[in-house]
Amino acid sequence: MAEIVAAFGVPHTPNFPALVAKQGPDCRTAQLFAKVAKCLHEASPDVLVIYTDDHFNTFFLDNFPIFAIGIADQISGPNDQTAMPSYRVPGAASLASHVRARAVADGFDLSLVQEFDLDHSIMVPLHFLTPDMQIPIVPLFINGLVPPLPSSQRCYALGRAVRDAIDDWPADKRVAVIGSGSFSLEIGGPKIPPGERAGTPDPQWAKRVQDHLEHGRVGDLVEEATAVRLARAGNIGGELLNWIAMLGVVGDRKPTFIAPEVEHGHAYAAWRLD
Amino acid sequence: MSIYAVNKLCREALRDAAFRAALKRDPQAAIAPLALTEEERAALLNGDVAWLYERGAHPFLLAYLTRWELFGLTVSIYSERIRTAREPAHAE
Repeated sequence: MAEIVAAFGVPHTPNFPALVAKQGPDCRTAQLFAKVAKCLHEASPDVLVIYTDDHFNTFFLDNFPIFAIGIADQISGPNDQTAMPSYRVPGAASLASHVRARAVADGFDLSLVQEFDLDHSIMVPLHFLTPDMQIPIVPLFINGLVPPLPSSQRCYALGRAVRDAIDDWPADKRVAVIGSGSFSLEIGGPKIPPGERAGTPDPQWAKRVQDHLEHGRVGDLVEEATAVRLARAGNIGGELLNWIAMLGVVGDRKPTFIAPEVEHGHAYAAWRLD
Repeated sequence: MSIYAVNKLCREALRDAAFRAALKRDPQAAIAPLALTEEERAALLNGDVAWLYERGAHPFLLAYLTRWELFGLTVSIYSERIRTAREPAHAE
């Protein structure tokens, strides 16, 4: 049977690859990703399950799933003109098919996506964490951007169902789970600062999320992350749902490593689970 | 629901360089074939992003327009205008 060996949470800010290319490996962003990457490589996963929110690139408003799973042997990205290298990464189609069947049986109606590419929200984390693109991935999409969003309870329950599915995947594989996104971020909406196109309107909420993560208070986090609370954190605040789904494999365990970036509205975190 | 066409326009501006160039060259002609109401057409041509936001245009997509300063929307003008917008009807 498969074993869940680690979980990670990271931002996916699209200008990070260009920023790090310019500032070099000693800059803060590079160092924080390097810490997470070190934890990831120590856990030695064979497969990565990644929760993220598409930004109108893989999907558009003509057909925008609340939950979807990508099942493919090869996946390319980024597809949104992010300033970074183009990559091809293998898809873990057999685990993805297994997770989909189990999740649907458990009442989570995951949309099936088989011909697709990915935007910065997965490619930026992979660029920093697994730049050789050798570890196969299962992309799980959660609608974090187009209200109404799925509830935090529903996303956590999805994360538990996916955990159960991985646990009984009949393959001798080590699996890590990643959640990617911001806790407080506004892009192009009324909460941006003067003269900017984006900002962090609610650093207090980002701090509170980080405190809950640091102390393993997943129940409090899920309870407090209501639709109203997420909206106050900015129009991209729903990305926290990716982290909450990831926490389905973590439960109330405390992280091995967490670096808060309150002023930027996000964090970097790692949990060893084996 | 023709605000869908506004959202789609923003996405096509990102993905379609020829459409983007047309928007830059002659915005009125470039949006003429699109299924927009007269009010939406006027709001776009005036760069009235607050009006569009209040009617459901997604801010992540609207903000693309500043990348190429389409419809006269520099970052500074965009920011000044969107900051006056009220929350759209779907927000809680």
